[in-house]
Order: sequence, then C-alpha cells, then structure tokens
Amino acid sequence: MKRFLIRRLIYGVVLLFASTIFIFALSRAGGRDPREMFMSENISGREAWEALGKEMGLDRPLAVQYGIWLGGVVRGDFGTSVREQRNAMDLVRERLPATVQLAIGSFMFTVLLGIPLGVLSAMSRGTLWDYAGRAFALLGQSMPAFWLGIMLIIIFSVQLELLPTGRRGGIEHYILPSITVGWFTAAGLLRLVRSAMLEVTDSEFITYARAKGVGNRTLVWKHAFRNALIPPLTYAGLLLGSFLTGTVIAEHVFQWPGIGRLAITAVLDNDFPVMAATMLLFTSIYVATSLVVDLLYAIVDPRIRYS
Amino acid sequence: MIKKRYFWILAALLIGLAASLSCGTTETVVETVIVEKQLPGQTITEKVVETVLVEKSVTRVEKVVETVIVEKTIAGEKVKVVETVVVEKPVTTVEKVIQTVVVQEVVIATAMPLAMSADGSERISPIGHFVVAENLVVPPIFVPALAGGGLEFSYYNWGVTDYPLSMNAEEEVDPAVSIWDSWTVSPEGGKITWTVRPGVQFHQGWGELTAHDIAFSFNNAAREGSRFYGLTSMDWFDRMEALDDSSGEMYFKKDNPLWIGYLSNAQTHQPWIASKKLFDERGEQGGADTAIGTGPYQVRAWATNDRVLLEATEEHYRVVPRAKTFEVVEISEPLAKQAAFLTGEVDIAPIDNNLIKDTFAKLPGSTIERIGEVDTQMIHFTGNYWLKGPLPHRTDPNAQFPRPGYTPDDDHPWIGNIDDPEHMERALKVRTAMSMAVDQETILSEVFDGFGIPYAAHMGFQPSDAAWKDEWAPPAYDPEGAKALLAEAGYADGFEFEAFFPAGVTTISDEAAFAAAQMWRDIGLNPIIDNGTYASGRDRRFDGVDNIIRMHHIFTGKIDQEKCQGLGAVQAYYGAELPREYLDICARNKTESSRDKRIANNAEVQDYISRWRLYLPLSAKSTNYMVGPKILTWDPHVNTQPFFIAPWTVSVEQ
Repeated sequence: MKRFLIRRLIYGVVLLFASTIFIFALSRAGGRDPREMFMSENISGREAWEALGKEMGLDRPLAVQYGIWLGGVVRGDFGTSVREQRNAMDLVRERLPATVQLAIGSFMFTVLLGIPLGVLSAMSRGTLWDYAGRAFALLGQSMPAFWLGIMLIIIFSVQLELLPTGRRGGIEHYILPSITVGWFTAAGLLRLVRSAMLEVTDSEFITYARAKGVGNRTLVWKHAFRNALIPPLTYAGLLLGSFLTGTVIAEHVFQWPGIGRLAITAVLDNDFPVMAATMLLFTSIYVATSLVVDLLYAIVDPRIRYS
Repeated sequence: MIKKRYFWILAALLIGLAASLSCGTTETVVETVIVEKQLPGQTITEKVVETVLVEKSVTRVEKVVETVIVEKTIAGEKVKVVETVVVEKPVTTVEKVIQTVVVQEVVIATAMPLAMSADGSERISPIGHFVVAENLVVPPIFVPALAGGGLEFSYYNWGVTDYPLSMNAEEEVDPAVSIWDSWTVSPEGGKITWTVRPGVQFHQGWGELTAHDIAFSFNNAAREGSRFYGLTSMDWFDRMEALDDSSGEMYFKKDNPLWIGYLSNAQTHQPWIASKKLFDERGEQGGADTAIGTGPYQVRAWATNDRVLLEATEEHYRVVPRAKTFEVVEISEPLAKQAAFLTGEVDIAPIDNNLIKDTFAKLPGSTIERIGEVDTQMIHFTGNYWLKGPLPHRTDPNAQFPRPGYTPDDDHPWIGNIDDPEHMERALKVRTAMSMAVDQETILSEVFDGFGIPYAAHMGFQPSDAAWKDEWAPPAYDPEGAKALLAEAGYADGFEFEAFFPAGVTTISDEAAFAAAQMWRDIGLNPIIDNGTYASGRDRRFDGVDNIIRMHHIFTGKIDQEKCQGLGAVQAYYGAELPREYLDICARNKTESSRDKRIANNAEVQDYISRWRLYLPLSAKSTNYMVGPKILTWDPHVNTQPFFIAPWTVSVEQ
C-alpha cells in the first residue's frame, strides 16, 4: 500500500511536470512574441517592452526561459494578471472557496439523488418507479446545463418567487446552481448505479442470501449495494474533480464568482498568467481525486490489494 | 437671480444717494453685496457691488438756432443777407451719473446638495438602498498607470473617484462642483495654473486631497511603461507640478483646446485623482487594490466579477447622494439579468434590446432610460494601410511602409493597392458590393428589436446631425446589384475570406455580424468565421498586422472632437490607415479651437472614408437601462459610454 502510494505520488508529480511543459509551450506557440500574452494592449514604449523581455529571458534559450517560468510556478508565482494587475495565484485562491462550496452542493445533490433513484430503479425493475428513474436519466443527460439553469430561474425565481436568481449568499442561493450542475451527473450516476445493482442482484450470492431469508433492506444496502459500489465510486470521484473544474456554465448563469468564471474571463482577456494558474490547478485536482478514488477502492472492496 | 427684497434695498440706497447729491455732495460710494440664493444644482455666487457717482462726458445731438450770413443774388446783384436757421449739432456736457460697478465676484465653492426638502430649506440625509446590474464588475486598480482594462471610468461612474473638473446640473464644467476651484491659462499658452478646493477628503481616512495627489495621478498615468487606457489620448500632456499643497501647474506638450474634456467627466478614459499618500506608503502595486477616491460614495466591499457595495459620503463637497447605499452586481447572462430585474433583486439593469419590450410588459411601473449615444456596429475592411513613409509603431521606431497586413492580392480582394488606381477601384467595387449585400434595416429590427438607428458614420455623424451628408450612408440594400459589382470586379463566383467576429464583448454584437455573414453568403461569398474571444486576436490588432474582415464597434457622437485614434494602425486601430494628408486633417483637431472647423475637418475625413467605403455600419444600437418601480429618480448625465452613471442622483422609495 505504501509503495503504491509513493508510486502514485511520483506519477502525479510527473504528470504535473508534463502539464507545465504543455502550458509553457502554449505561451510560445504560434511564433508570436510571448510578451503579447503578458502585457496589456495599451503598453507603450520600447523600454517597458524590452524590460519585460529581459525579465522573461527571451534573449536566452527556450529551456532557460522554461526554467525561469517554472521557478516562479514552483514558488506559486505565475506572474501578474494582465487584467487585474495582481498575482495570478492570489486570484485563484480568492475564487477557490466559491467553487468548492458549489462543488460540494452539486456533489451532494448528485449523490443524494442519483444513488437512491438508481437503487430504486434497479430494485423495482419494470415498474413505474423504474420507468420514472430512467426517464429522469434520459432527461438529465439530454438537457444542456445553461438551458436548465435558465429554466430553473424562470420557474423557481420569476414565476414562483421561491428562490433567488443567483449569486452567492445564504443556503437558498445554493439550490438552483447545485441542481444545474448536479442534474446531468445525477442522471449519469443513476444509470450507473442501476446497471451495477442489476448486475449484482443477478449474482448467485444474492440469490443465496435471499434463500437464507435475509431481509430486503439488508439485502439491498449491505450485500448488493456495497458490491455494486465500485463503478459509481470511480464515477463519483471523478465527478468531484469535474465539479471543481467544470462549473463554468452554472457559474456564468448564476453569477457565481468561482474558478470557472475566472478561467473563462482569463481566456476572454487572454490573461495568460491566470490561465496557466487555473490550468495547473485543474490538473492537480484531477491527479488528487483519482488518487483518492484509487485508495477508496481498497476500503470499499477488501479483495483489492495494492502492491 | 437677485431676490426681490434686495432689489428694494438697492432702490432705497439709490434714492438716498440721489438725495445726498442734491444736498451738494460731489461723490458717494455705496457698497452693496448681492448674494445669489443657492438652489439645488446651482452655484453660490457672492458679488460685491459698488454704486458710485462719476462724472461723465455726455454727448447729445441738439437743435441750435444760429444766425448766418449768406450771399444771395437779388435782382442780379449779390448781396449779403442775415438769416436765422435751425441746425442739429452735437453738444458735449459733463454730467454726474450714478454707476453700479461689480468690483468683486467670488465663486463660493461649497457643496451642492441635491438631496433637499421640497422647499429647499433643509438637507436630507441619504436614505435607502438600491441594486444595479452591470455586465461587468471591473477589478479595483486604483493606480492609473496600472489600469489598462478600459473600463476604469466605472470608478467615477459609481461615485468612487473624481476628476479635477466636474460638470454641473446644466452639464457645464463648473468650478463650484470641481476639485480645481480656479485655474488660469497662461497668456502664451502651454501652461495652466490651478488651485485646489480645500477640505476634500480621501475615503477611509487617507487624508485631505492636495495638489500633490493631482500631480501624482496625471504624471503616473503618463509615465514610461504606463498601461493607462487613455494614454494615447494624452499626447498633448507634458506634466503636472504641485507648487504647494493647494496649487499646481499643468504643462502642455502641444496646444489642445479640448484639454478641459480630458480633465473632467465630460469624457471618459482620463486619469482620476488617486492618493499619493497611498502610493508612497504601499507602493504602486500595493496601493492599486485599495479602492479609495474622493467621490460621493465610499467602497465598502469590492469583489471583481461579483459585486461592489458602496456607501454615501454625507459630507461630500460636490453632492449629497440621495441613497445611503447601493450595490453593483455583475450579471452578464441576458436572461438571468432580466429575471433578476423582474424579481426585484436588481433595481436598474441594462436589459438587452430584444428583451426590453417583454420586460416592460411584465413589470408594471418600470421605465426605460437610454444611456449614451448609439453604438455603431461596424465591419472593418481590414488591411487598407495606405499611410506611406515612416510609420508609427509601438516598439519599432524605424518601421516603414508597407505594414505586414497590407496585402492587396487575390486572397484579400477588399484591400486596395494605393499605387494602382485601377486596383483601388476594383477593391472599392468589392467593398461596395459587400456593403450593398447587407440590409441594415433588417439587422436593426431583428437583432436589436428596433432600438437604435440603421446606421451612423465612422466619425460619429448621425443622420440627425445638421452636418450629415447623404453620401455617408451605406449603399442601399441591393443584393443583385452587389452580385453585378462583384462580377465587374472579377469575382462573379464570389470568394472565400476569413472573418473575425469576437465573442464575449458586450459592446460588439457578433449576432449582427453573423446576420451580415449570412447576407454575404446570399450573394455567393464564403466567410470563414472565427468567433473566438476578442483577446485571442489581440496581438494582431497592432502595428498593421491584421488583414481579415473584422467586426468592431464605435460609439457615435461627439462630432466636434479629435477622432484620429483608430485611423492609424498603431494601437486600437480600426482596420485601415489613411494617407498622411487625411491623418493630418484629423490631427489638426487636436489644436483647432473652432468647433465648426473641427466638425468640418471630421467631415472631410469622413468624406474620404465614405468615398472609399472603408467601413460598413451594420446598424447603430442604443443601450437601454430598465429602471424598476422602486426607483423614484435617476438623472444620468450625457455620456457617450453606455454604462450606469450618477448613482448620487438615484432616490429610492422607502
């Protein structure tokens, strides 16, 4: 287990290192002067232009330039945001809590809706519950998030006047964005849980347990669900990663000041330092969540051994 | 206005004076002080008037009887006859007259409270809260040299900062409401000496504003390497110097009769007054994110891309805000913005044109406030860089004609070869055909729901202007004529071209551009559209690198101003570069003091632009803010930038 952990950590570091090369290469791609990506369009004067070139080491080999940039990145210095004139990493730190909060809300919605409905659908195969669950799955996976978000606003905010239209605030502010982000994934989780449950409930050990007179609740939640948990667990772990990195649309529709909007704004403004910081953060999140999921396998299924 | 009772006092004094004169006094001086009563939005002026008796030569024409000797011929003989005649003659006499002389006029620059009770006798404290939606909450960068986003005028618009000069309620620059409470232009020009209103405070205890703050702010904006957005419009500015805490001097590099606009809220993109003390204590970078100014609203919280909370400064020098607090929230998604307005979460919101009628119908009591001039959506036939000789360049002082994007070849048939008249005409036919293929009326009605006008000219002229010429209008919609012209130019089968319609810019409608693209397809052209972010094409915008059809916009209006920026491919250029003689005409407006001549100069440049059809207006949309029923008053002043402004005039229903 320890060796596995160390190996995975090394893989993670290598992956992050590779992603820094990729990000750096982007700033030098296209044969354009990279200073354009670090300076405002209003910059004037040759002196400032030359000064930045010197700072970035543009008169030196590409490897040295990468080294200079990587040195800053390791220290958490991605450069100064072109748009905001502040340290790019500071901006990421400021926006991260909002995204984490929304991700947690969305994850809870996904898990609390997807798993019970998946189990219910599987255990009630062929009934109205099953059809309802499958219809939800179909709708959930076919509805674009931006459209769903707008519809939720129109129905629950404008028509029913029950919930705010957006922005951060009290608990009521989390409901519509969390549903918007979590709807698609809840539908996916439902389908995954349903199929996993159906596969497990067809197993001989379930038939045996049922023959022994094990109660339905114990049968479902202790025997069937635990054994059906590995595929949804993988999915759910990656979901958390995607929530942390992919709430862009919901953040836009609901004016949620998180990492997603920061990344989009950085792209719109060609703000390379912020783009680089968010890209590396997203990579780190995926590396970390996939590691955690791998470790959880062993806890959920004792048959899995890491060596 | 002189009050009636002062008139009677004055009359009584004059009668007294006349009585004393009749008693043999030779000269009497009566000093009268006339105070103009302050009304909301008006200036307090104190005039010291002396009534004096002076001796004056008075010339009158009088009829005088004179005796003259004339020679007459009587019975063939000449005889002298004495006759009496009446003649008119000027007669000069010395008389004593009463004269009133204004010996001193003092502008008392005290606060101009807007929030008054109905009878104007009592000032009302700010009260209430309102929320404004904006498409963007800009970052707080409160040091001019670091602020390059282009929306820094939001700091003023939201009441946080001030310019040295401000307009009064009549929209005239007025020392009574300005930080410069007096100024003198040196007789030989080139220098302005100014004094600072005492007692103006920076927010959050950063002390009293001094001349050093003003000098620092402008010098900082113009420093080497500054990214201040309005820097390119400040080429006339040399430096500012503080003489002491309360006065200073501003030096010109070259004459600029319009300097007052660059120092006031009559325009945008000019330096605001920042705190030098803040800079000294925290450095340029450290001071940038401390959101302070001298405006009527103080920042209580600022979250970029999210919200700003502001609170009224009750003891402000130029205005007493009506609302105690207000909040600016960023909502860029049009339907979410409409929803927030309908639910009352926001009270003032820039609703998209195609949602206005629907919103108005759904929210009784709401009103529509048009802000700024129309915003002309413009296609640039990029690449016609016709300026010869040494070229302006951002970083290369030796740049020469031609620009990299000047490619008058078969792949860019809209780019004319300035050295080949025949090629120029052929390229003109292509541009004209592309213009004839576009139906501005349809774009206006379908994309902007009728809010705006079909077109305006590049130099800011609108058909409603007296100076408008019909030949500045784009050619009438005629797709068949367009096809014929293309055939004449040698492109009967059309051609393929790259077009950039930037996404994500609220002032640029890529939807309108897509409509034009479809109309081009209808005549056989094949635009390959890049709908990427505006910034993704940023590095091609400068120094004449770009040569693709581009969608952009220009704020219309202000036809009497210098509008050279954009006509030379240096910084924020607009796709073409005019020959030297036209850039010179344009540049003359930087020093031309006659408004009529400035308009005429701009018209001459527009003649050239229209003659060669360098730009294609798609339509000129208006920007409209919807105002909710909770808002009782809001008086945004005229401003060409279509953004929320003048929060201090907003009063809220309690």
